[in-house]
Amino acid sequence: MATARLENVTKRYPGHLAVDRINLSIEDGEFLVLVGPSGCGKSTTLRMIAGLEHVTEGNIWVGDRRVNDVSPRDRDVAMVFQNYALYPHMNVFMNLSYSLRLRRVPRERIETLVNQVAATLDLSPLLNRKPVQLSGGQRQRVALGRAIIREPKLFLMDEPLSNLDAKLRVQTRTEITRLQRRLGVTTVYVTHDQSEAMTMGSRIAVMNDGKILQIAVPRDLYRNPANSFVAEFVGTPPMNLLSVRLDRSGSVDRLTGGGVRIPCPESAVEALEAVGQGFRVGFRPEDAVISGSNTGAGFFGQVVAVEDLGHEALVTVSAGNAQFIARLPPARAEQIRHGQRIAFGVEPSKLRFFDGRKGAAVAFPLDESLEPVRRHGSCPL
Amino acid sequence: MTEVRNTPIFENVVPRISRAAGKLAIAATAVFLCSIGVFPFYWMFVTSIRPSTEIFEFPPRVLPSADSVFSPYLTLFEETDLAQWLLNSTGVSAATAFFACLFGAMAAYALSRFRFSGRETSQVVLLMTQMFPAILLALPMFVFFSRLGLLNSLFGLSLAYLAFLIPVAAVLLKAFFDAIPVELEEASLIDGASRIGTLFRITLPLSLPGLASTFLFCFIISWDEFLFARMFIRQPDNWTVSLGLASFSGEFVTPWDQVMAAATIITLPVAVIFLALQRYLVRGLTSGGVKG
Repeated sequence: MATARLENVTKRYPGHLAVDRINLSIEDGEFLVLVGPSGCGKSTTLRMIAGLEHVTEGNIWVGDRRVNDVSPRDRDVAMVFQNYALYPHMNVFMNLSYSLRLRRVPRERIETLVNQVAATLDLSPLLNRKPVQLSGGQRQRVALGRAIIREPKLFLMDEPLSNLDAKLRVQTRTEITRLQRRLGVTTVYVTHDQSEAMTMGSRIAVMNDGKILQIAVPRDLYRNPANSFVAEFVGTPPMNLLSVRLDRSGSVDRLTGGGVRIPCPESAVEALEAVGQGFRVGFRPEDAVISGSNTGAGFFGQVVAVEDLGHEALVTVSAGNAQFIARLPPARAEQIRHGQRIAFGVEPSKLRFFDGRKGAAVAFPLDESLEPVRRHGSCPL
Repeated sequence: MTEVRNTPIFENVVPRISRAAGKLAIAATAVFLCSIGVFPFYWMFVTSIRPSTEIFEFPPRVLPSADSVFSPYLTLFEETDLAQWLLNSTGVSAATAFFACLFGAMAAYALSRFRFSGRETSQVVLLMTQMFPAILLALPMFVFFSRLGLLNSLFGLSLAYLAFLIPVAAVLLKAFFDAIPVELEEASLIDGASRIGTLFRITLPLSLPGLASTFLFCFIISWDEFLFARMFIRQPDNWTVSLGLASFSGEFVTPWDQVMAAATIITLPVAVIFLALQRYLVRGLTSGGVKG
């Protein structure tokens, strides 16, 4: 077990900056998820920690040791690859024991350890099989076993679930999280799947274009995204975003844009004036309030789609040039018809603002007394 | 289902017959194509045991003669240096194939796994070496080898073959190394192996089929080679089998039974090696390790 630290780490390929001065501190026993779209530099970052890629600039520390020039074998890290990378000419026993044999661990000790790990991962009956004779899920477990048998300082996982089918993925997700908690090994986990990141990570670092945009616990990331990219990347469906400007001409300050007018929370006015005219307003689908009549807290729109997912329903509303998605309990959505004209509003304290050009979140004092998260639970229709 | 049961018998039988006929046609084609390949070898053997009086009979008889004789085989070993030539050829071919694989593998590994300047160029150059006809290079090489005192030596001949075969082996093996996922090596490096350790524990075992076919290819090329052997080797003691075989055709008479007997014997070692290595020639060893 150990901490890991990345200091201004940069990876430059000829004509391409893959990772741009990232700083990251991974706590002892933490499950940190690196998430981002493909090509954002998350795998490159992981491979630099593993020692498979050379660091162009900056420092990587594992524990209190600078490992920039340490070869992968001496870093005491274990990695699970996306395609498992099981040695095809060795059976499961040999795959699991490979690292131990290289370290000249005594034969009896190897057998004990392999049997322990095999029992943990339900691999005991498969020890004599070759990888080609295993199912996708079994291969995945062998790959995990090969990593945990070494009791390394650091676990590195590069999209280990992306080759599994949907059902197995959810199951293995839980297994990996449980295993990590039990072993308490510091883990860096790379994925492009934000729902995987949200469910597994104790902290999440969102990356894009080689930069870390935000590091936060899942709930914070969801509630208070640091910029519009994170707001759109995290959450299914993503945060509703609309380019607006502040209109102070009426009796109430309003946000107008795309033919829509939304009342502006008073506490945000000062901060928004400082930003200037170009900014975006955002809110989560579950923070939308839908009702039959306009109560003054929103605007009218037309329902263009109702998607009932069983446990929740997504209602797409078109207003002006913009479209918004609201998340409702299915019972409430049943009464909403396609093409219906409805009032669409947002609890002001749930609005988030982003700089129109840079996308950075605009900070303003939040009124925390307005606690209700799922407003639609009590909204009349 | 009832409809199927009620259909007249011939509707069920006809497709079955046509399927069987299809299989039969495929089998017949396969046998025919194989026989085209095998027939020369058969003819070679049958001719070698035919009494010399019957060899030029017309029309030729396909089946072996009732008076088959094996004396040409004995004559060969008693009256010619065939045994010595076989020994020479085996030595030259085995050494050439071994070193071509060894050095070819090193070059191929570097080309497949490392990024360095001149990588693309060296690959093109490797292919370009195969562009020139052998006779074009034979003369300058002859001069060169004679200066170095390497003429008339099997070592020199092997060296000449290596000059041709290392690039071929490198190109062939590079394709095999490329097919081995690099993650396997990375996993091994992280698991605690050195680069050399990874090469011997992971890469080479997985490229056995490639190594075997490359070895076989180089072996056969050197075994069959005639032009360079003819130019470089003068003393009959150092002849390879192809030179020995050519020496049978005399100015006035060619003992065809002996030529065919010698040809049969010369073919055997290659066939044996092929059978020994064919297990490795079957691809598919790397499947299953990574999910593609």
